[in-house]
Amino acid sequence: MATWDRRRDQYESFAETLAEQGVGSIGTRSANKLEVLDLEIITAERLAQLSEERRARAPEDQLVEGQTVHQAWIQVDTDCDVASIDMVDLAFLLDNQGDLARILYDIAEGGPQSATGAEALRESVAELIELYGSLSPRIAEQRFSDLARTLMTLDDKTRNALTQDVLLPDLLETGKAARLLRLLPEAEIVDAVRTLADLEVGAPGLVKLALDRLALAGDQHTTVADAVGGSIGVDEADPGSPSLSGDGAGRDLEEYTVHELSVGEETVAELALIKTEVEGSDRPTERLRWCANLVRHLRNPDHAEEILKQVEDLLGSWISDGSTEVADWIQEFRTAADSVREYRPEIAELVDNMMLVLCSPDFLLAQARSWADQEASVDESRRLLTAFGPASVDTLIHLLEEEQVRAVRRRLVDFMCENAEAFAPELVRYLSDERWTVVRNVVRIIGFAGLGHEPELAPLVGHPEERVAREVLVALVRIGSPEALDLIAGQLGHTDSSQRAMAEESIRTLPVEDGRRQVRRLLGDPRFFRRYPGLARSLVRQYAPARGGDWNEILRPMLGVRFQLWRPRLMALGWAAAAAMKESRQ
Amino acid sequence: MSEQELDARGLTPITVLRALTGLRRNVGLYPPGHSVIESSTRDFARSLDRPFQDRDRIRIEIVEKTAHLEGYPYRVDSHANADALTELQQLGIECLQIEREVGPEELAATATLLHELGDRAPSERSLRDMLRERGVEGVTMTKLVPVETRSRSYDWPEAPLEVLDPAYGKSLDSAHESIGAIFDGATPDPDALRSLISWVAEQVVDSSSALSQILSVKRYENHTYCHSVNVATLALLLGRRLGLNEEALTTLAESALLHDVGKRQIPTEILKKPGPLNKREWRIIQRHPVIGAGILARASGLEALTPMVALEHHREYKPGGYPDLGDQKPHLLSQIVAVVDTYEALTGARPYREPLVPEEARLILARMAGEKLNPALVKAFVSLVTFFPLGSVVRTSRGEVGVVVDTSESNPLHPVIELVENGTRATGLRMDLAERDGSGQYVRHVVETLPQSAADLKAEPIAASA
Repeated sequence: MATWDRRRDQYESFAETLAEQGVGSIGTRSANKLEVLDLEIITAERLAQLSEERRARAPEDQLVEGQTVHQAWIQVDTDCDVASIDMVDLAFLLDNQGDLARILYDIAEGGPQSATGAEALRESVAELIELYGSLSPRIAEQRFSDLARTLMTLDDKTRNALTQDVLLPDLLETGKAARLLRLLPEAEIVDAVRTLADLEVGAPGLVKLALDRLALAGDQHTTVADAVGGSIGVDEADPGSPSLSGDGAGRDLEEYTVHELSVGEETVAELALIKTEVEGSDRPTERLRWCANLVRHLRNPDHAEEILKQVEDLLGSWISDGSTEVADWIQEFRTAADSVREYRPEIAELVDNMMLVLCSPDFLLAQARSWADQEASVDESRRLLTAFGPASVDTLIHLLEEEQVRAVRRRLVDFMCENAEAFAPELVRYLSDERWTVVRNVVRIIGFAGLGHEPELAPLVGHPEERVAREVLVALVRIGSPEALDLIAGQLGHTDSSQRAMAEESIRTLPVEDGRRQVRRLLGDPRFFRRYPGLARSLVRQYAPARGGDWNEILRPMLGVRFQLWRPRLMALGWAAAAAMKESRQ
Repeated sequence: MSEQELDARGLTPITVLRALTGLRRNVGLYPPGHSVIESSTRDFARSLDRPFQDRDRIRIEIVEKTAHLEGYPYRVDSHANADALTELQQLGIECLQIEREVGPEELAATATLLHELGDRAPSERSLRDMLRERGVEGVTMTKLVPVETRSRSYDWPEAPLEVLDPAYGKSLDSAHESIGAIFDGATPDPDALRSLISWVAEQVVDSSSALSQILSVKRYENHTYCHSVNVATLALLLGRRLGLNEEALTTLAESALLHDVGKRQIPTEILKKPGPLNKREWRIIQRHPVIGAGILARASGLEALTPMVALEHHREYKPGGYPDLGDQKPHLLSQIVAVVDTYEALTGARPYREPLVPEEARLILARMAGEKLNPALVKAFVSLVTFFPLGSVVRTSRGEVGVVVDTSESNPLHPVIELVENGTRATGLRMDLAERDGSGQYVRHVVETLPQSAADLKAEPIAASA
């Protein structure tokens, strides 16, 4: 019950939840909250009128048999004698159409709503027409007149939408809306029928059918037919054709003419194609397709697990056979898992587990060994491992720690470095791993992934394990962005001399092209060269010579420190800058 | 507000009703102004204090020996409480409404009136009027009448009352057993299903009497095993029309037979609801393809595509329908089952409607073609079913009346007719309604079928001219 309570907004039946929980011997039946409609209390006098009305209705409309669902109750005076009220009775008893429309709307929605009058009317006008059509002719006429007046009080947009979406389809399909439509002003009727004109090309005869069903009185018919006929040529259509609504007529088949149902050559060809496709269905592929779809919708993890086991077997055999399609299907199931991860995490986890089983260490080792043999298999491996996503990363990390696979470890790491961008998003979570060896490998791979990963590496700059710290600096150098360089430069002031030395060394190893740009940025900042004059001097010597006049702008601010005799290292930087400028002029 | 929340606030409808009946009893036992009556009146008024803290009116309903406060039922946990409810119900009171402004004198007057009524309320006057006459404005007592939220309903049998073909009857019996077992929670039995499919393929599909019964109006509940057999039969019929091989036909038949097994977890009161479903119920119904596919996917020995058809049979040709499977088109087997399932459902009965006649059902199929159903499959299916039986009388769009003497499978809507003149068939005056004009439009089409009497046609065996 607790599970069901959580899932009610997913429109799950209690029976379904019970079945999922393995409960087979408890049946349920739903009971609605007792709802007393907020209507005026019905008096005995009004009920007597209802009895008369019931007698006046057509006999078939009084037929009530079989099971009843009581969705609501109404209050009547204690001297009333009535067993039940049906919706047609209510259509008689309620003078206010808004009340009835709201009740119908609430019933359709499955409970009380706070719909506006226009909204309720729009949603329930077809039912209102149906109910009013069941009343005795005199009362029905009154109700339809009231409804027509109410419609005219709606704004044009709402009324037009209602006419096009509800009244015209109803007029063409059942003809019942005619009783309402013919009570509207002539201009409205003309507008309504004119909207059918657009359909005339594909469905000839619709306007005529509509006019026949409307059965307007003589003058009104002429006026509307003239107005509409002028635009669609209704008058030209077969004047001798008998009325479709004549007494004694059989079933009206006019609409059949709208639909082309003959089996021509084109259809024969399509049917032949269908036969070929059905017979040529690749069953394992289709199985994977519907399993992926089903996994997206299943709610019971036990059921999902059973189905995923079948998928696992099938994909496992495809992997063994070296199928080229398997990567796409692995990706498909990962996508399915991601689509349900938020609201059915247990199902997503099952798919993740299946991926881990499929992407086993043995599978990965076999992949790694095959790279040496065939160049083509690298591409396929890349597709496969990328499709596996987190599973492949987990297994790879696990393998990197295995002593017995040392021989292929290098190959695995190289492979991951080559495809670092694909793996980096999943690797990031391993940056906080307790094993420094794992962290070092991951840092190295992420360095290959390039721009955008600086924030993830930032916390590891100055890592207490020197080998990790060095790898981080190498990774940042490889990234080579201003953010990466700032992180390295930040280490130049480290209290630990070895960290400082590593940072200096890293800056010196910047790639020439990227490095020159970044070094210019560093040296252009007086705070940098005043704080680290030794490093600045070596960078000036390394990058500035023979680079042309564009360095002068960077070097000139350094000239001012040439005579700061009390700071020899700064003074040396000044002279180095002067020498570089002189060299560039020659 | 939940029952627990109301309980926590010390308010239950029982408390109020007990206070009212207690006061009524004391009014009968003690003279007016007696301290016991005053004390009872105060108890009654006090029982209302809390509810009036956050509302202007309380309404207590008594339905089926249960007291409700604003629709929420309350347990009647003692004889004394049950007696209070019975006492009021005997007086014809099923709804008690009290306004916040009610005074103690009005409460006492109400109890006095109830005491004076004796065993039951008068049938010629309402309690509401009687209370108003005594100056009681803040209390209203009424009866409750259920509102049936439909105008009519039908109680259809579960299966056809008469089966024309014994082979078809046998298939229904067999389906009752095997599919009924699945609905009772059993795992599908592949052997039993295969045997049923063989029987349907060999004995039912070729039987014109069985087919006519399946294709015509079905005045029985059609969400049962009968629906499964009918859909499987029609699917086989359409599959053969397509020329599918035996393997594909077997898969098609099995999937058609089992496409609706997911309904086993849909509450019966929703499946058999005598009225259109509300949105919540509709969404529960929409779960049945997933449930069905889940059941079938876990069963062993079934065809690989059978769960897929259960999952997709309510998906539409132009991606849509349910469940939401994105932009994928349903598999063609699912599309075949969708066409015949729709036809079968339309010509079958529902608690809230009569079954449609075949012409109307086909018209709806035609409307759905291209959007919800595969148009080629709809055409193929419609062409399988005789549209205008030989001998039927039709009127053309040009006003001619004629007897159908020939039909074409490739163009079922445009038969060949023999004209009727003065109530007699004009032998030799034949008109092919499939004829088209220079622009490719049909020259004529059928606009209605007529009863023989409407054409005043003299009886004549059709075979003579066919």
